[in-house]
Amino acid sequence: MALLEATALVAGYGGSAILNGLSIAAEAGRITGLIGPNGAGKSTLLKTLMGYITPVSGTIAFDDEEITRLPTHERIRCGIAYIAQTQGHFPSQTVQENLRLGAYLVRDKSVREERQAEVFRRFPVLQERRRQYAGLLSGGQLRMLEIGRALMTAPRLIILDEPSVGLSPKLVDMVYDHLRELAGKGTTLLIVEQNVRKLLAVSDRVYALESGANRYDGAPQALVAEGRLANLYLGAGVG
Amino acid sequence: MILDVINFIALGIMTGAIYALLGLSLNLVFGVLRVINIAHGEMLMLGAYTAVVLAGVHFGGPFLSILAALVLVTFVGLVIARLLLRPLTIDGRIHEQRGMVMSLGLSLFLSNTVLALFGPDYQRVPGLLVSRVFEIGDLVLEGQRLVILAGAMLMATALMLFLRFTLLGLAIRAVGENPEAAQANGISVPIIHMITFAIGSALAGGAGALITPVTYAFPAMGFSYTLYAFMTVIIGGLGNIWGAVLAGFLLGIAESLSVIVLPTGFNAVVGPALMLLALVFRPQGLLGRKLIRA
Repeated sequence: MALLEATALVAGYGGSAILNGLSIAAEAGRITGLIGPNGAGKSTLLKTLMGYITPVSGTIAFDDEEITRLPTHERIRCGIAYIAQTQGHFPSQTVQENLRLGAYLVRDKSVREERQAEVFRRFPVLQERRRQYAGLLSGGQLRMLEIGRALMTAPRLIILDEPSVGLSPKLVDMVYDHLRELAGKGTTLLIVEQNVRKLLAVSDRVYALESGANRYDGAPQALVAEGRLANLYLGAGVG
Repeated sequence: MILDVINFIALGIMTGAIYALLGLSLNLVFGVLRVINIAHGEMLMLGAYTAVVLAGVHFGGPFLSILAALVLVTFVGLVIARLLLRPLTIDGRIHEQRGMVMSLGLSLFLSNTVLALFGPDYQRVPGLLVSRVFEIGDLVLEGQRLVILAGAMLMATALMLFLRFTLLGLAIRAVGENPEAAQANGISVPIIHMITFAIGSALAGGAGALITPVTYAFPAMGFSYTLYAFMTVIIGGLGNIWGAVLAGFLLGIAESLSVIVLPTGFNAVVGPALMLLALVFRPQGLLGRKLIRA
């Protein structure tokens, strides 16, 4: 069953469409990967799914409820979390305050404390640095903070825009270990990634996008076996 | 001579407190909504007229007037934010130029509405806040002005504590720093904009009610306060709350002391001159960061 389903999305900035009738579905409890060359519309798709961009046409449904025109903060309330490529945090607030903001919608104090303790167990370095400004953290620590922040609402779906960007291979592995573990516990993940190899290794299903439209989708193994990747990135002929 | 200097400094601190409060509240609105609010002085004017009207019907007393002004201007701020700023908001950000032009229109609208309702006359709240005079040696301090100083500092401190220690304050800071990320945390940016604009306006309104017993209220009074608020903000650093407080006191004291050296009537030059100096030598403001955030 698809937890998130976007159908025939047309969207863009200031009248020019970047997405031209794109459709994707994120199956519940699975990792769905989105790949495609620069300018394929991956980030635009995520921003549309999050409500930062209102689509010209098409629909978005989460858990069978239409959310196409729901404001971003309401989508968070529905159980969606978003981890932006960069700048998903507040550099001049402390680590603790960033986590508190992540739990903005969580009214119950004991639930908040429990989730924060969970985040600290997952990422002990955040606990050590909880009084430091987020702007002083390293790239890897920031990614931990952003994942931790997103977990404060105990989301059913986490949408990630290039979680590997700017990280060393070791840290990329660390981040993906956490993501895989979250998926194992039933969280649905939708991930955009430039690091195609990594994404293919963890995804249950992959969508390849090109020029704001679907090019291919299916199991990652099939995508590799059929040699479609080279076509997609090198633009050679029809896939 | 020394006594004169001390006296003028004391006087300057008291005017400075009002500048600080105005700069602080203008900075709050700018820092979060990114709108240059030209109607900020008009919020002060509305507060001043609230005090005038209440005194006219012999209601309450000066302290209740301040409270009434805070409440009324909070409400006015909410209405303005909802009716005028919300339509200018695209993807969580208010269109800067449109916001500024809107606030210019609002400034003209409010001052002319008050002109139509109350006429062009200078109005004053009769009586004093506190009639006592404090003498420390040869230094004479009017209780009235001390109350203004205390009131302004109280409001400024309340704002600081609110921003620092409450969840709503944290959300306001978050929206000011990164509106996209704030939304991703489930914060409604339009609602935070409304609340912030109302708080910023209310502080200006409170300042208006606070000063009417020592100064006159008239329909066009707002604009000069808007200018002072801008001078304070530019000297202190755009978006920097502590900078505005420091600059407010500095401006008040400098203006007051200038009376000793400058010919009568020239003290109005001090503010713009300091602002120009700041723009030339320290464009990021006294406490502003060099980096300009987008």
